[in-house]
Amino acid sequence: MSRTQLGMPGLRPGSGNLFAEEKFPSAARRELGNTQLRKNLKHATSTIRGKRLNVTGELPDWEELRDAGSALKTAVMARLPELLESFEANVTARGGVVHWARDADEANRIIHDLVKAEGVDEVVKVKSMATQEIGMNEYLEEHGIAAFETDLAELIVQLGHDKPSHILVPAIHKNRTEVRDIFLKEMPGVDPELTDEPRKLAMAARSHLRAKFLSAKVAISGANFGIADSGALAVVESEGNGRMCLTLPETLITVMGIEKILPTFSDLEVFLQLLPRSSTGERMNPTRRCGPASPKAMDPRSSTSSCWTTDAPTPSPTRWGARPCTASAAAPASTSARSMNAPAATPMVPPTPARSAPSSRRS
Amino acid sequence: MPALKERAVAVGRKTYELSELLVDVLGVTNPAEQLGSYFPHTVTYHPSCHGMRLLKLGDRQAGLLRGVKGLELVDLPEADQCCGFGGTFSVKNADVSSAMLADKTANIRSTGASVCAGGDYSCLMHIGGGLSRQGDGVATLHLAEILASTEQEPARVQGPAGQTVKVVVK
Repeated sequence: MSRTQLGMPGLRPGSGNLFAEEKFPSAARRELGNTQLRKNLKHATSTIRGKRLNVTGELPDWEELRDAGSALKTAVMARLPELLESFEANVTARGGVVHWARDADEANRIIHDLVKAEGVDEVVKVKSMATQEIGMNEYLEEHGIAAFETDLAELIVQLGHDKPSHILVPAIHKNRTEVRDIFLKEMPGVDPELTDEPRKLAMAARSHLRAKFLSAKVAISGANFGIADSGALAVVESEGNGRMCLTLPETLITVMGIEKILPTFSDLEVFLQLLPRSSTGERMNPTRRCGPASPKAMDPRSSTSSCWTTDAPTPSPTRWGARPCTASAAAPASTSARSMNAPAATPMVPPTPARSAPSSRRS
Repeated sequence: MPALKERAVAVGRKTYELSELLVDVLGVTNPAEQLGSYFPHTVTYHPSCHGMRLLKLGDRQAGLLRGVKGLELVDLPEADQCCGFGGTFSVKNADVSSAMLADKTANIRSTGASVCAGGDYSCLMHIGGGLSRQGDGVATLHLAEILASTEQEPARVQGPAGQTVKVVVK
């Protein structure tokens, strides 16, 4: 009798974290009894949803943008091999090294070899779902290498010996009092008088991380986008930790799934309007499309200034200045991992127009 | 397969969700006058994920309900949230599904409505199942049943388990 295979093919993509130790329904049954957790999640998700609805409502062409994004991704899938090869060629032409990994185990081995070659036992990390999926931190730890998360929420999760609960808001299950308690217990040199005021918590994390940024020789990042026609990588972040990781260390290893490819730099125009608003209800800034950004549209606190985001009216600083979303386009970069001896990834947002070569500042 | 695609597009072009057919094709703007719709109850309305997010029905269904004589439509808090049914999701993840349903039925009860209306019978089955087990006497009805209710032949409002609930038309 023949059997019909339903669902995903049975190939196990390495070990990694793709297969949970516990089935979701049984974990869910247990955690649904955790009233504090449910309260935290309810509060956080409804806040984020509200924020998202607010900022997506500002764009009259929001639905068209989503359709455009979907069409771009479909087109990418239709010519993925060609785009990946062009990406590799452009990364290589700009001095990067591309490694291809078939599964989690192979990716982890490559990354470990690259870190080992630099002779370090510590790396700093930008928030990355790819490295989470392949279980990279655990792999490196088994091999004597400590990977320090620098995204605030990932830091909370890591210090709390916990697991991220959400791809965009990894610590969404913790309220700020719980965060304070984790910091007090696990953060070396933390002020014992630390309160649960968000600003105080952020400042504590900031001073904890600053030392890591300044001493790390190797950084590991994910990638939101890899641009085939230039070999550029883009990381979207809102805390500044990403830029620190991409600029300060001598070696940058970027772990990127093959589906992150976009054909050209101008395709980012669509996704950089969609991503910040849709993910955490934040605006990309400054907000102007085409033409030079007006001085009013520049965020004085951000070194990234360009003109490639939205049709929304120029917002006032108070509306968008608090947590600017920035995109760092690092070039050169790689599909799986890259290692260079010289300061490699020069993160930059291209000046206007968005099409400019992302590698112009590379040394 | 271009020929097949053409046929699919042709079928798609003349396929409508009920409220689309009524509003966009048949021009029903006032169900009380045009259809004689009569339903003297307080009703809340669950818009359903695929009606809202996929078909993008917008205000069509709620607009029709507002045009029914005697019907008082009250807003459902967090109306855009999934009721937790999601087809096989409710079987594979029964506990999460039930937790989502509990939020939905709590919101429905908070409105004080005696009927929860919708355009999707799967959601209504799920929500009705929850409501009947909680014994609140809030019934679920499809939009079509409410529009078809007239002064001459009012809809019999029944709980999902078949029991007649408190809102039976007097």
